[in-house]
Amino acid sequence: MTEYLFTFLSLTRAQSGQRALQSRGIAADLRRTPKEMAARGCGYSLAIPEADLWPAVEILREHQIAYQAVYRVLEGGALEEVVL
Amino acid sequence: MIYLDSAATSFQKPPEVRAAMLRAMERCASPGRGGYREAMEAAETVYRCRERFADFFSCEPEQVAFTSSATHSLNIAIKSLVGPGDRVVVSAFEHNAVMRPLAAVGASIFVAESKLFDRAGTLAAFREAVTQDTRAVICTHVSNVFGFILPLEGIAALCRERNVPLIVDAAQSAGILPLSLRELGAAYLAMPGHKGLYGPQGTGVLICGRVPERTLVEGGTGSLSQQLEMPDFLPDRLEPGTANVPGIAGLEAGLRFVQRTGPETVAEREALLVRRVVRQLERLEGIRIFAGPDQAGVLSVQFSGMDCETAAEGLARKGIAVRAGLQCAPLAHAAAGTLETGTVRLSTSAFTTEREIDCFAAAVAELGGGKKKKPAGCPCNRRRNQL
Repeated sequence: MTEYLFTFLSLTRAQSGQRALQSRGIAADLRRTPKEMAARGCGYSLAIPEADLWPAVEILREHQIAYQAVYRVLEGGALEEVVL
Repeated sequence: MIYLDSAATSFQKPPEVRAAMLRAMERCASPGRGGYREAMEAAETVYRCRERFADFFSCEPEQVAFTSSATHSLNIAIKSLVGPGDRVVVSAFEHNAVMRPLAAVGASIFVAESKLFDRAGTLAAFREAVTQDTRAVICTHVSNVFGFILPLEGIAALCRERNVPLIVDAAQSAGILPLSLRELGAAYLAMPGHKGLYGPQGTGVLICGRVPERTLVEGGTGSLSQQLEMPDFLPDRLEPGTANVPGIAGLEAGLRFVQRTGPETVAEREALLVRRVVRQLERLEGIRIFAGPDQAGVLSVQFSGMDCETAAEGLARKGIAVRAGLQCAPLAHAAAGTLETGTVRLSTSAFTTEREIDCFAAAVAELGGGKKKKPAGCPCNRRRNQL
């Protein structure tokens, strides 16, 4: 299953995002961000299933929870930034 | 022991506070520092507390910064806003947690002088004192010496109207009186975790209406680690170093207790207890009582012919814990005319009982009140005798 990672400036903001998504039925897994993407933020990101990508973006915007970037998790764990 | 010193710290805590702290000590590592289970559980514990505070004080979780005390919170707020020579208007009832940081930064302090329990006069004094060039207004919500509830809503409206940042010292009101960051529009709400919120000592909170320009302490936050400057976003900007996770867990349990009990229930009960003791003390000769219409669960008294420390010592010998002296608020004593003498202060909590209040009144009578009528004796003793 393809996943997308949303990165955030702070752990607290990532947690706020997680709560907002979970309250709307989206499984958002809070986890460490791979090292090469972590330097600009807090080191945590939310993993979202592909099917929930656009609803997740909408919900985060609705709650004014700013994310830094979105990455598609490729096979083998490599990340590719996605411009939404 | 009859504990009547909850304005210092609410010594009696709900059992769930201790349980939550113990659980955190057993299961939580450092939040924001790892992806392993114990770090994630710590992060969840801390965030849960932020969420609860955000809900209770009408703000966002990111606006909740954890500190070690109300004094710590006030220092952050004051030193981020006020510089040397800045005009700052304060109430006549401020604690040294406000006055000393202001003195340390070299602020130009203007006291909005008013009489004790005079809410209209207090508001009028602020109206006169707050000028366009005022850098900040700092106001305690409830006097820690006299329990006087200041007209915070009116002062906040004035600050909004004149575009002056407001710092609220909620040391004696958080968890008891309504406080909404959104409604007040304050720059900061500073509060201890260990009084009316029933958390453990060593906890405090700063609710931020803005991102502080200056920081008080710098260090690792787990975010933006490659840059030397502190992050410019909340709460990271104010929370360097390892979080007090057991304390925060206990604080969350304390606030949960407050929400379950109902802050309005606690406030009403504490005010009733104060009125009850006032009625009893009024029957005594030689006791000066500082009571008024807008009073929280704090009461100051003086004994004729006995200094306050001796009186408090006498009460301590009878197993009653109160606070004597200036209670770190010489400004408030100056306003009430008690700067030279100090007072004996009793303060209540959700756990204070009517019987304890009656015991206090009886002890005061025995100690030197010289009752007009024959003392009925301490109800606690009566009960013990019956048993």
